[in-house]
Amino acid sequence: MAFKRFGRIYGSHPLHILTLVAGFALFGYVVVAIKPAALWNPNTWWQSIAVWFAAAIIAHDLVLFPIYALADRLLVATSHRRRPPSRVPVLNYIRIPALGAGLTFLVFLPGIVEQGAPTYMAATGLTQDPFLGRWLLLTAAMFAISAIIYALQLAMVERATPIPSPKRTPTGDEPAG
Amino acid sequence: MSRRGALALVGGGALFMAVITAGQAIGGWTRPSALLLPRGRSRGTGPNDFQGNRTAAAAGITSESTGERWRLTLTGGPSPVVLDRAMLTAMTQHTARLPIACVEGWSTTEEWTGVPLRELARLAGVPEPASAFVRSVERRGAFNRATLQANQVAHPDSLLALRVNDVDLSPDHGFPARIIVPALPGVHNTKWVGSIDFRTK
Repeated sequence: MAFKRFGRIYGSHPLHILTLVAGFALFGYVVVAIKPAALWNPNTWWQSIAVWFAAAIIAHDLVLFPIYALADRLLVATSHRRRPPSRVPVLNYIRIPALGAGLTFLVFLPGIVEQGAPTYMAATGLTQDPFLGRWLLLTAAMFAISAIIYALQLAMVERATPIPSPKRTPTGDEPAG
Repeated sequence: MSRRGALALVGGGALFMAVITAGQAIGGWTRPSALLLPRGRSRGTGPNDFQGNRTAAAAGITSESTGERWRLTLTGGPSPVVLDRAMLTAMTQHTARLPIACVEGWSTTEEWTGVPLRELARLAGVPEPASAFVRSVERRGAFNRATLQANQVAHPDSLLALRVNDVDLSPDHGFPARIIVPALPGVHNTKWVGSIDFRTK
């Protein structure tokens, strides 16, 4: 309809520009609410919000993205090399728990690597010991659950459409299938 | 992965983060579900084993300053009023179930028993203070003092707590006395209170 012309000029569905504008408006509101001066820490420059924002973008684009893009490429390449190809592609069953592990690792990094131990002790009277073990267990649980769901999916697909066994003719060895 | 799948993945990730962190604020039996957060941990099973910020050791609180020689000084009236813990426990106690809601994002709800702040204001000779300046025995740090507003002092549940969950406060939770006020960020619920100045403007 009218969206086709818009799509040709803009390059995407109107929903795309609406979502972007909404995102920028929210960002603008946040900056206005906390006041632009709060983005910069004059005492310790590297603790500024603006610095961490920029560093996150750079660290992601230059370090994290190449790593996980490469990992994903390798995963896709190895999964395509299987013969015969799986009835249920295993790719996402590996990606999702891996993403979950990466996300929790990134978000809870200080506790897992025991950074800031003195501050932690002063605040709680405890150490950060259990966190590494818990994260490893959580990762194992995520992969285990993914494996179980994959096995169930595979079983359901196998039951619904069983592969016909190749028939042998009396004269030749070639399967008739 | 399809576009729908990608959106579902992001939404699922957000939900996962909510589930793995909500326990530190909801508390109770959900607290251990905050697996990787400092405030998802149990500190024991006694009445004083709930979450707190800043141990007595870290705040430099010695038994010297909180033991027998501890006094609470109330100023703002015609003359300063000095009380010790025995006098405070002899006054009429009030019990309130209130949370400590830390700005770090966690909460814990406990039952506090102590002397209402408006009682202390009346005792100091300032029955209707405009504000109250609380000082802690803690020497250093940004939160060894706090200013309470008139409505916060006047609220019936605003206490100078002496006991929690039916036992004396532990040193880590502010023994001999701490402030606990409804709807006040945790940092302003001063621990190890030394003096309160009731102001008329």
